[in-house]
Amino acid sequence: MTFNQATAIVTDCIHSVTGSQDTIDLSASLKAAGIQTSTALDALNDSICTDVNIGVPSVGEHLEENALDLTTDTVVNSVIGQVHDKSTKMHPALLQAFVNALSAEPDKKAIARLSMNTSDLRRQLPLPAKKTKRS
Amino acid sequence: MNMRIPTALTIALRILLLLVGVRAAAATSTIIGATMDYNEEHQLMVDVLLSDYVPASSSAALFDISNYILLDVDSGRFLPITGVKLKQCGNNLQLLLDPTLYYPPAAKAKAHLHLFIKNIRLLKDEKAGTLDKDVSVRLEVNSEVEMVCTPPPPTTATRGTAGTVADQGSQHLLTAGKGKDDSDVYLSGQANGASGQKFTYTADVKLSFPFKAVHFSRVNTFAPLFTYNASTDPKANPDTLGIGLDWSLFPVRDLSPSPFTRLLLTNSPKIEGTHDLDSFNFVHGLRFTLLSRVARKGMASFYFLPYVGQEVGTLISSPIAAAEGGLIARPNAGGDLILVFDVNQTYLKSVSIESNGGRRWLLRNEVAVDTDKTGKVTAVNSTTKPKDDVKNTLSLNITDYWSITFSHEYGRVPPLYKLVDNKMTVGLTYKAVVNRKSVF
Repeated sequence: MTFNQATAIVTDCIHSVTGSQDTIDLSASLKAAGIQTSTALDALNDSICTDVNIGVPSVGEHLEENALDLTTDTVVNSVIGQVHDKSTKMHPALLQAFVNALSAEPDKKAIARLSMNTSDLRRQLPLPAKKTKRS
Repeated sequence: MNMRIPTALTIALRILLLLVGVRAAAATSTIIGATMDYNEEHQLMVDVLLSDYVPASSSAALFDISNYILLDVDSGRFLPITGVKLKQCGNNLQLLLDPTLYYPPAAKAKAHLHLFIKNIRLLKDEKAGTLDKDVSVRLEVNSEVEMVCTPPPPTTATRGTAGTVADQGSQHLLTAGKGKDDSDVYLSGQANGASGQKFTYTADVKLSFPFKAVHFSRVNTFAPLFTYNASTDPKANPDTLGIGLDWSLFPVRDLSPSPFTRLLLTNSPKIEGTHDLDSFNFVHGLRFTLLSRVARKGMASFYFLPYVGQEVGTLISSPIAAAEGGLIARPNAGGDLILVFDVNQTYLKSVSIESNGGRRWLLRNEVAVDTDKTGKVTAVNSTTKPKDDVKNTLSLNITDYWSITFSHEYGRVPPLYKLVDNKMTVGLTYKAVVNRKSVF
């Protein structure tokens, strides 16, 4: 996962929880970004860890549900750093289940993200190697 | 001297940078994390997250690759940087590395890189300075890229050393909570007095140790819970305790275009009773809570969390013997309104006004307590008349941990439904959340 992807994941999840599309100041706290209650914090953790459209699974990686140390005073940049550092490559079986789920229920946004991360996915999926033309 | 040559090399390079007149930034700008990885286009790069945005006026220096030094500390060589990309979020750089970069297999387990960025000025910096950071390596060993990347897959410790952001809260056992519902450890004490009367004392204690697990493709939070309320005031609710478990998850994550963003489902099996267990019930609560969108204007933010639920259970022990074994059924509805003003001054962090309340419709008779004319507390059969409760709180949050609280309470709450008749309190409150990382 790149920092750019981690930033997109955290900001998308904050927007999803708060229902606001306001620009998020990455150097400010989650409280300033609109995550003010423990319920909202739990919702943010839930989205980051398990949302296949905008969370860590959307880039083919996995984040353990107890991994993030979040309070409403945690700085957004810190959350991005934690997501980046604590995410691990998804287990191939989980990734296959994720791809199958997307195939069964096409989602434009998810497919767009998936296509952007084809190279990442190819490294995870046991895809057959491309046949090369014999000279 | 036992100083390792690579360490000496790093220090020497830092001194050299200082000697050539490049002074460290006076501001608190830092590199939050730096990682060697592949970018979205599968190019080998060092991914850099800065603590602040890069202003447009610094773009010339930003894209000058001579301002970047990527040092392989073990070999002492500089790794070639071929380009710089500034990502859309404004504080994320990707330093593209020479694609022909080769690590011999022997260096796999020893990769130790350090990044220096010269002449960089972030948004809040007064002048340009130098930033530096250890670089973690997150390359997968893969046949496709074997010739280019050879360092091993990172261990947690490796990533933690270089990339994990030091969060002030994670360094302590306790971090700041917000209110009783948001806190894992909540201790509140109040003393009330009036002319010609004895002082009365009230204590409110909550201990909770939540942990999370993924089930049903959702993060489930399980929170063993202990609550205890005690008071020497004969007019207050009798001493009560609760032992139980809160299990919650978000089954619905998209409620657009409604004014709500999430639906929270909470299951709460618990034992509730008096502190001497003279009267106690087993109750299973099921509650659906909606999380509203944030309404903001200036320094003010507003939230609304309405709920509906049902509590079912049985009276296990009661002062009225005939009531023992009776069923409990209480549909309920209510909500929580929160208005927060983020003042952010040295003497006052924020002011919050919170109002929560609800109504329980008792479908079966339960046991209530009442105070007779002599002041003696007696147990009586309650009626099925709906029971309301409301609590309004004004909190002046001096620091993240301490606040002065003014509150007003009215109503009847289980298990004993004693009327709390417009009770006004002023108190000093300490609120904290247990940092599970420190405990476990």
